[in-house]
Amino acid sequence: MSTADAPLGVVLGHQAASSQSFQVGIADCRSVQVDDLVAVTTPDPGGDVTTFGIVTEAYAQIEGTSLPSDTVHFSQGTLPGELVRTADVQVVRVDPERWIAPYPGSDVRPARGAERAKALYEDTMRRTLALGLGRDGEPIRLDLDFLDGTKGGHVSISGISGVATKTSTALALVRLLLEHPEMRRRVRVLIFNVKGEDLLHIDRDNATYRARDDHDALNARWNALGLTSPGGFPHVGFWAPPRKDSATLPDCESRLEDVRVFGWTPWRFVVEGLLRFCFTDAADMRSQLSFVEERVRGELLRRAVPVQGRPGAVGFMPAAVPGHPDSRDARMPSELASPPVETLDDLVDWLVELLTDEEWVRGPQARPWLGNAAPGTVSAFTRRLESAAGRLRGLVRADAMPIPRGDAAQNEPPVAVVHLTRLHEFAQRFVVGTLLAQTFAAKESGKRDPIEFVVLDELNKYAPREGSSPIKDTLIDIAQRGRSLGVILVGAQQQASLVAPEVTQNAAVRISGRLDPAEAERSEYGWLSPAARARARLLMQGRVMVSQPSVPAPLTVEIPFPPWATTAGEVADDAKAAEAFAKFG
Amino acid sequence: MVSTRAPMAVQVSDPTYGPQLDPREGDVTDVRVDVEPVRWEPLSPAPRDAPELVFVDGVQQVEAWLNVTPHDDPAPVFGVAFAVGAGAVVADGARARVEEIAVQRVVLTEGGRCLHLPTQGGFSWDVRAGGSGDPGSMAARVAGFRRDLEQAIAERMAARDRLVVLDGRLSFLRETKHPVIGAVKSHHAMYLQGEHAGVVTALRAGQRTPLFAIGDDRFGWYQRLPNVGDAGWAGIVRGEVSQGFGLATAQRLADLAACTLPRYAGRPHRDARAPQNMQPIMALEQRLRHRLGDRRLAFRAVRVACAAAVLDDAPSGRAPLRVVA
Repeated sequence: MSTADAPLGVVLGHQAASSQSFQVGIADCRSVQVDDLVAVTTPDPGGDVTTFGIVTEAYAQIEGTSLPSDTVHFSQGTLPGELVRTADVQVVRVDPERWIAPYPGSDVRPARGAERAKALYEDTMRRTLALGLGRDGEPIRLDLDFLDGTKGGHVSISGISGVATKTSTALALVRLLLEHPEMRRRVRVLIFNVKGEDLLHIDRDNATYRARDDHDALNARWNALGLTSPGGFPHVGFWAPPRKDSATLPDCESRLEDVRVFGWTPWRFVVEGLLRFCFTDAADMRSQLSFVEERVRGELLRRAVPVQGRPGAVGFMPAAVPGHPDSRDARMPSELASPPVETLDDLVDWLVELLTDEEWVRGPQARPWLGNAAPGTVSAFTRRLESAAGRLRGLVRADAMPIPRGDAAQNEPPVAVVHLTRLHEFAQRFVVGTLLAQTFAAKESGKRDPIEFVVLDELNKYAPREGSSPIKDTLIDIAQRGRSLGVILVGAQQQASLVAPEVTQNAAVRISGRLDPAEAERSEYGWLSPAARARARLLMQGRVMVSQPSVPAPLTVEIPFPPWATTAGEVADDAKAAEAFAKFG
Repeated sequence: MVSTRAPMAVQVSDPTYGPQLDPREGDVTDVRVDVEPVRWEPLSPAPRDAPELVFVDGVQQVEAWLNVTPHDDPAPVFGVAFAVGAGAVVADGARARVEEIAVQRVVLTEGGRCLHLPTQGGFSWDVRAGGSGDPGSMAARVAGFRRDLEQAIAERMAARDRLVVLDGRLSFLRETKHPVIGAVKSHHAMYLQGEHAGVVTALRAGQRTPLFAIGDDRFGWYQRLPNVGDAGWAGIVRGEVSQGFGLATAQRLADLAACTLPRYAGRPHRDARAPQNMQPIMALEQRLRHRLGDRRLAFRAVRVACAAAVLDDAPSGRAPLRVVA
C-alpha cells in the first residue's frame, strides 16, 4: 500500500465518537489539515454505514506530559513522550442514512472522487456551478437550483474590506456564471461600483496575473472551474454619471473610452415616480416629509404630459390628465401650467415657487398637493428638493440616456457596471434605488429569463437593519419575491448584523470572508459553527467560507487570483494597445 | 554544643511506596571496600560523551485471586490472575523514546494443574502452575515474572555502544555481554558502615563513592542525584554492575553513571519518588501501567472467563468446575 493510499488514521475512542462528530488519531506518515474531507466505513450489525466528515480543527500534543514543564524536559531528551496528532471531524453525511457513530479504531480515509462528491452532496444536485477550489485543489460546486431562483436564490457575502472577499467573490461568481454552458445565455448582471474605479477595468486582462510565476497553474485552476480562457470579462457595458462641467463626458478618471453617461429624462422621472428616491433618509420616513412627497409625486404624475418638440421634457397641466401617462398626447408649451421641464432644476424651481407662494399654499388648490401638512413640513420639503437638485445635477435632463433595463437591454452586453463612487451618497442612493426599482418593475411585468443578477456592496447602507426607506422596501421585495421573478441579489456587506434581516435571511447562499472578531460572534453568522467562526478571523486572502442549503456545513473555498484587471494599475498594456488599434486602425 | 559533623538532614518520603531507607535492616554480608585503588572519599569523574542510555523498568498488577474447587477434590486450589509489563526508554541525548513494551497476562495456580481461561473481552492469559498457594509466595512469583520480562528486555536492548540502566537490583540478571547497570533507589540494606557511610552523605550531585564489592558477583557504588539538595541520603542512588566486566570497565561505567544520570533525575514537583525515580523511568511506568489496562475491567474479564474455566486433567462429564474470583 503506498503512502497515499494508507489510512489517514483511526477514529479515536478515548472519548465517545458520535453520529455528529468524532476525533481522528492521525497516522505517523499522514498529514491532515482543517477542511479536509474524510470518510469512515463502520461495520454496523445493521449493515455497513459510511460516515463522511469535514475536519474542523487539528491538534498536536505530547502524550505522557501533564505539566507545562514536562514538554521542556521532553525537548531536552530526558522525559520520554510521544507526539500525537489528532483532528476534530464534523459529520456532514452518512450513507445509507442511518445515524450511527463510527466505531473507534476504524480506519479513516480521505474522501476522494465519488466519495468526495458524496460528502459534498454533489449527487443530490441537478445542476452545479463551480465557485472555487477546495483545500484538495478540486472544485467546490454550488447547487445552481439554489442560486438561480429555482429552489432558492440570492447570495449574501460578508467580510472585512481589503482582503479580496466581497468584490472578488461576487465577480468570480458572475464570471463563472457567464461561462456556464447552460446559464451563460440566461444571465444578465448589474454591478454597482462603489469603491474607487476598480470595476471599470474588468473587461481587460490582468497584467499581474500574467506576470506571476504560477501563471500556468492559475490558468489550470480557472480551467478546472470552467473558465476556458482566463482573462478580462468579454462583454461589459460601463456607465458613469456625467461630469459636473459636461453632461456628455463620464465622471471617471482612469478610463474614459467605452464609458457611457447615464441619466434619466424628466419625463421618466415623473412617470416612474423617481421623486421618492430623493427622500431615502431613514429620518424622512419618520417625519411628515414622506407624506408630502407622496402627495406631490401623485399630483405631478396626474398632470404630467410630454412637451411637443422637446423629447424627454415634461410639462404639467393645470388639472389632472386622464389615462395612463404613456398614452398622453404631447402638448404645446403654451398649454402648460408650468414651463417645459428639461432638467431637475427646472422642476424644482417650478415646484419651489409654487410651494413657497403663501397665498397658493393657503388656497383650496394646494390641498391635493399638500393635504394638511404644516407649513414647517412644507418648507422642509422644499429645502430638501433644492438640495436634491444640486446633488443630482446632470442626472435628470431631457437628453439623458437611461441604463436599459428589462426588454430594452436585449442588445446590451450581459454585464453592466454602474460607476457610483464619485456621486454624493445622496445621489448614490437615488441611482441605486432607481435602478433596483426599474429592474424589479421590468421583471414584474416581463418574463423570468434572462435572470438579472444585481451585485450591490455596502448593503447596510441601502437596507439598514433599523428604519425604513423606499430602497430598503425595494430590496426586501427583491429578497422575498425576486427569485421567483428572476431577480437575484448578490449583496455584500462588512457586517451582516447591520443589514435588514429580511434581506440576509432570504439568501440561500451565504459566503463569509475574514470577519471582524466581534462581528463573527453575532447571531447572523449562526450558519458558521463555532470552529468555523474562529476560523473566519484567520481566512487568508481569496479564501471564503460558503454555505448552501444542499450541504449542511460551511465549506472553505479558494477563489483563484483574478485574471481580469481589478484596478487601473493591473490593466495589461497590450490590452490597451489592442483597444487603441481597434479604434484607430 | 556546635557539631563539626554534617548538619542533620531529614528526608521525607511518600508512604505509598514503602520505606525508602531503613539502615537498621541489614542483611549485608561480605562487602569489601578495598576494590578501587583510591582514597575513600567522594569521586568527581570528568564528564564524558555519554553513549545512548537505555532505561529498563517493569510493573506488575494482581488482578484477581482465585479459589478453584476441582471436580475430583474438595480441597481448594489457590491461584492468581495478574499482569506484568516491562519496557525500555532509549535516550540519545536529543530525545527520549519509549521503544520497547511487553505485556504478559498470566493465570498462576498452585500445585501441578494449570487453570485455562478462555479469551474474554480482549483479555487472554498464559497459564502456569507450581509452588505453594500462600499469598506471600504467590506475590513473590508475580514479581519474578516481572523481573524475567525486564531482564529479557534489558538483554535485548543491550549493545556495545549503549548503557542499559535497569531499575532495581541486578541480582537476578545473568551475565550480559554488553554494559548493564542496576540503579537501586530504595536502601533497605546498608552496604557501608562508619566512615565509609559518611562518604555517602558527603557526596554532591554528580559525585560517586569508590566501588565496593558485593559478594563475588557485583560491584556497587553510591552516587547523588540533584534536585533535592545535598544533605543526608537525599537523592542517593546505589549503582550495581556485574563483576564479570572487570574492574576497569566497572569503573568506567560507574563514572559514566555518576556523570550522566543526574541529567535524568526526577523532579520533586512531578514525582513523589524524585529524584531517584528518574524521569524516563517515571514516564515508562506510567505508560506501562496504562498498557496493562484497567484493573476493574481485567477483574470483570476474569470473572466472566472463569465461568468457562478448565483445569488440567479434569475428568469429563462431571459436575462443573467452580472458580471463585
